[in-house]
Parts: sequence; structure tokens; C-alpha cells
Amino acid sequence: MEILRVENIVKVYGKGINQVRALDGISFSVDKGQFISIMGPSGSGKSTLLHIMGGVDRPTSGKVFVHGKDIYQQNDDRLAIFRRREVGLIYQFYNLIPILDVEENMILPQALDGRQINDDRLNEFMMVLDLEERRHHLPNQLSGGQQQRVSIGRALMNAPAIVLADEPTGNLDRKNSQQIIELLKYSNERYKQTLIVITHDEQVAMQANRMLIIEDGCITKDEVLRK
Amino acid sequence: MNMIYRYTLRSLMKNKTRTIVTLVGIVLAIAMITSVTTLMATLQNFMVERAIVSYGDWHGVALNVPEDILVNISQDPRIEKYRLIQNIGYASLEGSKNQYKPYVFLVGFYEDTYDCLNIKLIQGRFPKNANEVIIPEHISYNGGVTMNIGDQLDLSIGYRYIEEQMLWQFNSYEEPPNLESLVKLNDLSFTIVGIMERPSFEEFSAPGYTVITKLSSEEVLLTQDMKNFDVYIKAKQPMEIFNILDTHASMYGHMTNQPLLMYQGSNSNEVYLSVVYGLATILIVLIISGAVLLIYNSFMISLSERAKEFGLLSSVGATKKQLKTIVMLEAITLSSIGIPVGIASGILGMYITLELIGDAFITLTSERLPMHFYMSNRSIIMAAIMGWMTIYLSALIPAKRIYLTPTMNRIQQNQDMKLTKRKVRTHAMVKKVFGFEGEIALKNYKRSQKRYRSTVISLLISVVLFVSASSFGHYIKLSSEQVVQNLDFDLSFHHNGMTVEEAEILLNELNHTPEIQEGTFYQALFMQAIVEREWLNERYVKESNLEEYKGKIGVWVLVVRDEEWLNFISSHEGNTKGVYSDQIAYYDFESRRYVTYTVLDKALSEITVEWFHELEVKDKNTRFQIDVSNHDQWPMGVVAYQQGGLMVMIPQTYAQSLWEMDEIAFSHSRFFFSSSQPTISYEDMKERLIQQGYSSRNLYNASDQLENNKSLLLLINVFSYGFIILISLIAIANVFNTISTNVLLRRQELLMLKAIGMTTKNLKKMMHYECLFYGFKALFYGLPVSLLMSWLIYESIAYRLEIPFSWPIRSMIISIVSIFVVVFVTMMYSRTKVSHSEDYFQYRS
Repeated sequence: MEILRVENIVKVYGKGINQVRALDGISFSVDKGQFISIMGPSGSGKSTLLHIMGGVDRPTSGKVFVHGKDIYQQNDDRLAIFRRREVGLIYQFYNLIPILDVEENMILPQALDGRQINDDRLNEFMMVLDLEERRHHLPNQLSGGQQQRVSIGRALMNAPAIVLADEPTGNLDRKNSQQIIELLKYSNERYKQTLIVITHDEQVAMQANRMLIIEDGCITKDEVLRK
Repeated sequence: MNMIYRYTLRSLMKNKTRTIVTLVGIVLAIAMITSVTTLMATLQNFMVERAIVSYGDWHGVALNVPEDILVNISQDPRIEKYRLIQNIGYASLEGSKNQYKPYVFLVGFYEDTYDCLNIKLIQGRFPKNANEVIIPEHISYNGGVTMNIGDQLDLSIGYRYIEEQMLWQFNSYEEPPNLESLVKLNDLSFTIVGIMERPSFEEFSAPGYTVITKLSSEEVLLTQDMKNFDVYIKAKQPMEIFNILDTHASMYGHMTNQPLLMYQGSNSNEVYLSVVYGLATILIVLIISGAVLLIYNSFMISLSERAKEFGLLSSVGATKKQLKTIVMLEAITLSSIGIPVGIASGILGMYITLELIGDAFITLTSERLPMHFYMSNRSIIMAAIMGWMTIYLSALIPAKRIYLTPTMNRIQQNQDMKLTKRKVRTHAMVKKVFGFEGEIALKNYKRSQKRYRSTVISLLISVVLFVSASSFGHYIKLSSEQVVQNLDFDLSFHHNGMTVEEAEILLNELNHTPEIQEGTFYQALFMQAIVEREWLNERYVKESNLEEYKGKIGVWVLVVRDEEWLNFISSHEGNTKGVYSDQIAYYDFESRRYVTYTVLDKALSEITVEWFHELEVKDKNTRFQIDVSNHDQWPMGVVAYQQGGLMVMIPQTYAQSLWEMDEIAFSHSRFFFSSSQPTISYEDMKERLIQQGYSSRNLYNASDQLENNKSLLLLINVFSYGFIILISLIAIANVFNTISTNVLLRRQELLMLKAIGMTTKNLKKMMHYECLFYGFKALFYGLPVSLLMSWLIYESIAYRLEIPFSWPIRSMIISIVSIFVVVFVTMMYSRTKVSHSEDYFQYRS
């Protein structure tokens, strides 16, 4: 079942001679529960694509359908609500709010939504992410791997339909990397969440169901690794 | 607690320095606004009190109304209080010298009448019953009838009529042909128990001198079965008085208490209020612009520091409204501490200031009132509203900027980091003079203009604020100093129409006043001088409209005592019989220039004068030759008349040889005394004047005035320096805030420079050069702008006074020095913070 469809996305930065075409007419679709990895050299447009899929950055032209609905038809506020309900974003540099503790960072999207926090789910995540003892620590009291686990927790807490991760292991050692990927795979399987991961790490990329390679703003390879 | 609120509070707590600096800025700004609004309220209250003391605590009066309308008045809910004067009637004043005031007018006060009408007792006490009266002092100096405390006053009281119509105080004395008559009803006898100043409710045209007795509520002094009242009404809402008078007194005479209504703000278009509000507006605009800048900067900085956080919040789904709520919550939290603290400290500061120097106002006004601290709800609410508006605007603008930035840019935080793409050239000289560090500093400065803009603007506005505030204080001080003259006498007294003999008698009497060291007087006559047309200065002819010249111009002849003359002449060359001056000096409002010129083009050795034709002089010889020489120096107390003109001064003996002195009542006599204890002499002299039948109102305590002027100057100094200090504090807080943040934001860059081999010394040098560059840039723009501001302030404050524009050199030098001091100190502070930070690793992320 299709959950996400990207149609002819173009993203242009700058004007005149400084103009950069970051994405040049990208189209593809993603089924529910798929785990897709995106690879490509630096500056090829991977992150831009990820942000456009996550409703963070508007494309210059083209459409993004989630559940069959064009998300950029909505105004900014509706788009913000879409982000907090449907999308979980994970960054290379964790991007936690430094003044909020682990628990607060994790429940942030729900708190912004004004929704009741699902304590069972929170406790489950704390356990799975091995953060129980760090619950009330601030981000700067955590290691890189721990911080990334918090940001995964934040992305998953809301049970989003799509989880987007931008080089989630780029800043981590091998052991921590593998742990993070296992966690992502776990949620992908357990909650049937669609997972799209940008990575430079071929070992990570190869664990996905499908791999896209982007160069100069175009998809140059779309390969199904396993069904 | 709501997550957003928790986030806001925590980010305030986290950035303690910034929160404190912002709070200090808010507190300073609100305190200053509060002190301005409180000072305004105090001044207004002072004027209200003054109006009450002078004219009474009432808004309107219904005159000569019958008893039956009192019932309606007493039931009117719009009226706060009303007080009665019973108009009893008139009696002839035997021996009155004033032909327009031939009566005594007897009124009855009740116990509570004094609440509304301020009667100023000069001697004795107030009457306690209907057998006692107090009399006004002008009954003696104006009416020429001398009465003393303890004397019996027998009055044949009755009513004044023209035909059937009864007349009261606002009907002035009717001479033939409509001659009025006095119908006597009762003979009453009173004891005089006190002397008062002329009551303010007695019109100048009133035909009777007011004499006040005391009545109990039911008392009637006249047998005739009617009571007639003046009803003094105080309305709950001052402006309502017009409607109240319309309702109850439209058929009777009525008046309003204009001065009181004006100061209670009912007639707000009055000049006085517009001046007060105008000055307050200048102050508040200066304060608010300083405060907005500081608070705005603080918010701007804290928001751009957190742009990334905002981006993150937004990427996890925070809406614009939620982001706005965060900023507003921050503003509200800071306001809820800053505004009350600011208001309290503003009030406290103003209270202390006024407690210390409010008494200076005692002698400033004839009412001798001290200025008390006064706080109105309105002034506090106004300060709170202005404060909140300041904070709100300061927070709103940067917040707008933040959420207009696309989420992506916020996350990558590349908005504020836009560098100039063009190639930045630095002059070879720079490298030679400042070395490599200087070149890097300049490149840094030129490339990231935008980042520096906030610092440069803060510095610039600080310079402008400081120089403007100093200029403001300077002109206020100068203009008040101008009003203050140093006089060479302690007490003076003047009286119109006195012969030499009368003046000598009075001088002799007044010289016996305790502590008087020396006394003298001069007398003035207005005469005409015979002057040839061709002697006159063309400018004088033109300005005095003398195109059809009849050969005569006005001249003041001042006659001084011989002793005084000898004193004066001994210090001057020559053996002249008289001196003259023909200087004209005045300030021309249109051209805004001080104008001086002489009446005559020719120097005279004699002047021919003659009596002014209106003057009745028995001596038929009306023309005199006065031998004179030209002088522009005059003895003690003789200040040139008004705008000057032709003035002649001669000694008494010389005047005696010219005309029969004894016959002449001078237009003007002026006495001067020096005293070792002016205040004691003043009080005593007042009584002596009354006993001699003169008004003590024309006695002037110059030393008192001098003391008072000194305290006024002190007050102004305190205000202007206080103001400058507070504004400077705001400016410093602002600069500190901007620079330290900018350096901290560059932490990574600085650490990187260190990492690639810059020594601490090099780094220090580089940063110092940066300070120099933007210090210069700020001054480059700031100094001309502050000059312009000074000029505008000069134009708005000083244009009416003869003050030249002065270059604010001193304040400019101070601001140049302090700019560099503050910049360097802040740089040093922030640099230490940077080099002590160990979280370099963390900064990579």
C-alpha cells in the first residue's frame, strides 16, 4: 500500500549565477512499512529531499503526497501539525533541545500537540532505548549514542507514519551505529513504520529493503534489496 | 506545567546573564518612565494645591442665590461638596480714598466655609462669633482707612439699589447719573480680631472691601427676612461643573475656578500643560528609544542564538502560534518581574528626590507651598502601559523575523551568517600599521557587516542618547540659570505714587527694622524729552512708529538719594550732574536674536525734558534742562526699565533745583535694603508696612528668592544628572549585551583560529583592532547624528531664551572615551569567557 509519493520535485536555491538546482525532477513512491536507504555523494541533494518529504522545506515545484494528500497544499500551521503527527525526524547531530531533559525532549511533539502522554509507551521506549537511568538528564550530560537514542525516541513517540533519518549514525562509532540501526529496524518491524534513512555507510544501506542513489539532484539508481 | 511554559522559563534561567541584563534594562527603563510620569503627576498636584491655596477648593460658584435653591444643590449627586458664604450687606466706609470702593461688604462664613476658601491671615486670628470680624489689609493701603486689631467697627448695614434692583459685589460702584443708593437696615458693631490678605473672591471692580464675620448655621444678622448666599461647589468630576451650574444657577450669576479646572486637566489645551507634556514627551521618547533598543537587542540576540532551537521545535511540529507564544511568554515573564520592580524603584527614587529637595519650592511661589511627592493611579498605569508596549514591541519584531525564516534555514542557522560575497580588499597600509591581526580584524569586520551591525547600532544610539541627554540637561540648566539673577540687595519694596517726603518717612521707618544694615530708594517719573529728529537712530524711529515725529520721546527720570548718587559718581570719572542711558536691549522672537541698539545717534551733554501733558502740575514752568553724560552703568537695584529706552538719573538735590519736589507724586518708588538676617527683617518689615498703610504684597525677599533659586538649580541638576546616568546605564547594558553575545557566538571561530596557531596575544590584538574598527564606525555616524539631536533639542527648548547654541564638545569627548572603554572591557570579559570554555568538542556539534 502506497504511503508516500514524490512527484517531479524540483528545488532551486539562490538566484542568477549563484543558482543551485539541488533537486531536479525527482519522482518515486514508497509503500507502508518499507525501509529505504538513500545514498549519494555530498551535495547531491539527499538532505534536501528528506526535508521536503518531511514537510520541513517547501519544494520549488512538484508535489509530495502522504496518505494520498498533497502536504504542501496546506498552510504553515497545518504543515506543522502534519509534522508532529505524521513524521519523525532524526538528525546526524541529534538536535535535541539543550534545556529540556531526556523525557521532555522525547515527549516534545506530543506536548506541542497538547495530547495526553502515553506513559506505557514512554516507559517502553525508555527501556528499549536503554535510557531509563538517564530520564532526567540534560542532553549535554549524555554521550553521542545516548543523545541519538533520545532523538530516535522523540521521532517514534508519536507513532508517526514515516520516520526520516538524516545520517543517524554519521557521528557514531561502529558499535553505537549498529545499535541505532537495530532500534530503527525494530520500530520499522514492530510498529510497521515507514523508514527512510540517508547514509554514507554501505553496511547500513544494505540492511534496507530498497536503496536509492542520488547524484546531482537526480535518482540514478533505485534498487530493491529484499522483499 | 505546560511544556511551552516550562521551555520558556528554563531558557530564561539557562541564559542567566542575558536575562539579568534584559531585566536590568527593563527595570531601568520602567523606573525612568515612572519617575517622569510621577514627576508630572507631582507637578500637576503641586499646581492644583497651589490653585486651591490661591483661589480655593471649588470648581464653580453660584452668586447671590436665595436660600431655597440650596435644597436642590444638596441633593445633586454630581456634587462632592458645597460651602456657603452669606452675603449680609453693605455699609459706607467713612474716609475711603478710593472713589470706586466706598463700602465695606460684610459676609458671614460658617465653620466649614474655610474648607473651600483659603483666607490668608496676616495678623490676629479668625472671628469666632458674629460679634467679631477680620478686615482685609487693602482697606488701609488702597482705601486709606487705618484700622487695627482690637478696634471697634460700627457698621450701618443695608442693601445697595438702583431703583428696584439690588446690587452685589459684581455690580461695580455706580456713579451719577445712575447713582445707586444704600438703604440702611441695621446698626451692627464688631470687634476687629484679625487682618487678612485681600480675599481671592473679591473682584477688583467690587465696590466693597470684604469684611468677614463668623455665623452659626441659623444666624441672621439683618432683620429683613431674606438670606442671600454665594454657593461654592466642588464637583465630583471637575468638568461636570458647567452642567451643574447650568442646572442650578442659570438664572443667577456664576463663575468657575479656572486655574483649578486647568490644573485638574479639564482644560488640557492650556499652555502650561502643553509645556509640561511636551518636556515629558521628549524625556519619554529618549528613554523609550534607549529601552526599546536594549530590550529589542536582548530579545534579538537570545532569539537568534536559539534560531536553531526554534527550527527544531518547528521541525517536530511547533506551529507559528506556539513559537510566538514562547516569545510572548518570555516577554510576560520578564515584564511581570521588571515592571513592578521598575515602577517601585521609580517611585522610590522620585520620593527620595522630592523629600530631599521638594522644600525648595516653598519660596518659588507666593503661596509658599512645598512640593510633595504625589502618585496618581493614572501615572502608574501610564508607566506600566508604556513599559509593556516597549517590551512587547521589542519582543515582537525579532520574533516575527524568526518565524518568517524558513524552518530549514533555522535548523542550519545560516540566516545571520550571510557573508559578503564580493572580494574584500584591505589597504596595504592596514597591514603595515596594524599587522596581520589588524588585516584579519578588518576583513572580519568588512565581511560580516551584518553581524556587526547590531553592535555598531547599539554604540551609535548610545552615543546619541548620551549626547542628547547631556544637551537636554545643559539647556534646561542654562535656561533656569537665566531666570536666576544675582541681586545686590536682600529686600525690596515698591509702591506707586509717593512724594519724596513720604518716601523718606517710610525709609526712616523701615530702616528701623531689625537686622537691616542699609536702605535706600529711588523714584521714577515718566516725562517727555525734546529731541531733534536727526538725533534719533533710524531703527528706533522705525520700531517705535515715529514717522510723524512730533519732537518728543518718552523718558524715565530716576531720582536717587544724594548719598547713593555720591557713591555712584565717585566710582565714575567726571563731574556730571546727571547721567543718561539710551540703550535698548530685548529679545526678538521672530528673528530669534538678541537685539541691542541706542535710541540716539548723538551723545548728549544736556537733555530738555517736560512734564507729560496728562500730569497736572501747579508749576507752570514745565521745561527743564538737565546736564547729563552718557553712562551704561547704574547703581544698586536700578535695572533698566523693561526693554530700555531713554533713561535719565539725577540726585535729589539736583532735582530739587529743577522743580518743586514736594509737590510731585512719583509714578514709581522703589526701596532696597540689605540685611544680615533677611527672613527676620522680612517678617518684621511686613508688619511695619501694614501699620504705615502700605501693602505688604509688594515686599520682596530677594535673598529668599536667591536661596530658592539655588535649590531650584540643585533640583534641576539632580534631575538632569540622574537622567544622564540612567540613560548611560541603559546604553552600557546594551553595548555589553551586544558585544558579549557577538563574541560568544564566534566562540567556534576564535577557538579555530587558536587551533591553527594564533597565540592568545595575537587573538587579543585582533579583537582589539575589531573594537577599534567598530568603535570608529559608531562614532563616525553617531557624532553627527548626536550633533543634529542636540540642535533639535536646542531648537525645542532654548529658542525662547537668549541662549546661543553650544557645541556638546564635553559630552562628545566623554562618549568617545567611554565607547572605547566599554567596548574594550566587554571584549576582555567575553574573551576570558571564551578561552576558559572547555567545551570545544561540544561546539563542533
